[in-house]
Amino acid sequence: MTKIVDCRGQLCPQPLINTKKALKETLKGEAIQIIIDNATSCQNVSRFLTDNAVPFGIDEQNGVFTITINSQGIEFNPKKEAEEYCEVSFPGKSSSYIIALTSCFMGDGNEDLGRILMKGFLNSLPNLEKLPQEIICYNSAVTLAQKGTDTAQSLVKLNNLGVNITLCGTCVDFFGIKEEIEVGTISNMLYIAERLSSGIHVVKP
Amino acid sequence: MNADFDLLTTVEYGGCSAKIPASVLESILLTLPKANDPNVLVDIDTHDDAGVYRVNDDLALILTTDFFPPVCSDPYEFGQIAATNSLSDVYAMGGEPFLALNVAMFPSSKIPLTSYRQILEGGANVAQMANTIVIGGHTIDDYPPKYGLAVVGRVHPDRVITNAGLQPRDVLILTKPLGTGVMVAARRLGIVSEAAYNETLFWMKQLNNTAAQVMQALGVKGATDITGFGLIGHAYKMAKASNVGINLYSSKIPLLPEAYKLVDEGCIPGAAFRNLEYVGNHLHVDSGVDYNAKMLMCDAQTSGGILMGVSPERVDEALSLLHGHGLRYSMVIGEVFQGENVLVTK
Repeated sequence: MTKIVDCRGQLCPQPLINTKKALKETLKGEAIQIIIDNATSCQNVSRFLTDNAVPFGIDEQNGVFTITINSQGIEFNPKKEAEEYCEVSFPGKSSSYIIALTSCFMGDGNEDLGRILMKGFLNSLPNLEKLPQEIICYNSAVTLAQKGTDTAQSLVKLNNLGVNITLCGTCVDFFGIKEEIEVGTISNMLYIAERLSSGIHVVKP
Repeated sequence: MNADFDLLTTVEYGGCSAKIPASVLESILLTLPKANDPNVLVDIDTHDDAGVYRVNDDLALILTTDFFPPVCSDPYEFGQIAATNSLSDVYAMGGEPFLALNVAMFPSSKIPLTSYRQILEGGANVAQMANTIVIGGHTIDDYPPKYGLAVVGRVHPDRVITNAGLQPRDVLILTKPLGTGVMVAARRLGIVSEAAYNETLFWMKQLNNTAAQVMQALGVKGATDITGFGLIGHAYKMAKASNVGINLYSSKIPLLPEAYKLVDEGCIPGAAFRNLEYVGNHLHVDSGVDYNAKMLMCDAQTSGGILMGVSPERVDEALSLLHGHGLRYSMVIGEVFQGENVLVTK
């Protein structure tokens, strides 16, 4: 049995994607023929096969290359390694969302309740499995980073866990608390607008 | 996207992948006459990111240009990314850009001119964020479009950061995730999620200005920005220029979301193979190193992060400053040793 992978008319890296797929799917004892009509793609596929110790032969006829892999006895199974690598952890790997805090209250309605809820919210964030990339505070939310508050302590804790804290500069000036900021990078509206529109998921509690 | 025209349809290889292979370039640059002016502090000898000219004891100018074909569909975003990338060479040398010219090629009869205006607006937006004034430019009618800036930056002559400034024992920190080449190729094939692709665009638009400030604050002497030659290619250039060996840890490299999965599926752009070819036998890869990780380290980056050599005593400080400035992917990815070449370990 020979599996034919026809990559004619395809641009790099599509032929390599198809080759790799075929290698993963092919049963022991099956051969694979990859047909490529582009010298660069052929070169890249060959290099890939060489690097992965997969023996092959190449035939060329009128600019069409046929790469033949005789799969007899070949074990192409890099899966285990791949999983190992995927588990590598580094700051922010799993976080793909931003939290935008728009006031010092959580939700609308009673302000005392809103304040308590916000405190609880910031307190529970460090326990989440997926931390946010960044917390952006604007309007009265900047006061959450004020020295001597419980919320500032929570923000410091989050910052130490690798979460960026961003404060709107205009808002900090408006509330006159520039000298009393415990944590966070003061930023401008251009940056905030960029972040909120960057397509990353934005959570507004 | 609200653009009139999808720029990605014009190119097969975009961004820094469109560079002429380093090995080819080096062979022709060898025969060019060299300046013998003592005020030329950095020229092409050390394969650096920009040229540096000493004006007086307190001021040196950094000159650089960089332009390339589209890496994304939206003209405004392409302008932003190209300008960010052009400015990056100044930051990589520890400087501050302040003047720029637009360098552009645009097919006025093939693509609506509004797209060109959007490209320039994107560039102007980034220049403004970098406190750089764009004072002119030059446009040639050509297909596919290309855009970038020629930039002038300033730096104190004693504080120039170069490829040649690494010391044995320096710890290497990379400030942006790798994989932009993979992601752009995957976008063209329609096999990447919107969220992961947006994250890629976001990082390509991040100026390396804070990395430059952190480097100056910590007295860093050796750094470069990672672009078309990939992490491995640029590491090799630094090793060569600094007369040292570089050990990169393949399991520590920061990656864009989905980049590993895509490479595992075979989405490896041709430029990664070219870069692997370029370093040739100056690269030693340990047997335990994962193939996909190795190829990600070869992936051509567009507007990539800064690779800096920090003295071991100041690594924690460096990381905390970088993370504090929003460069949350900043990680220790290797070290410098007395020797030569690039070694990749697990």
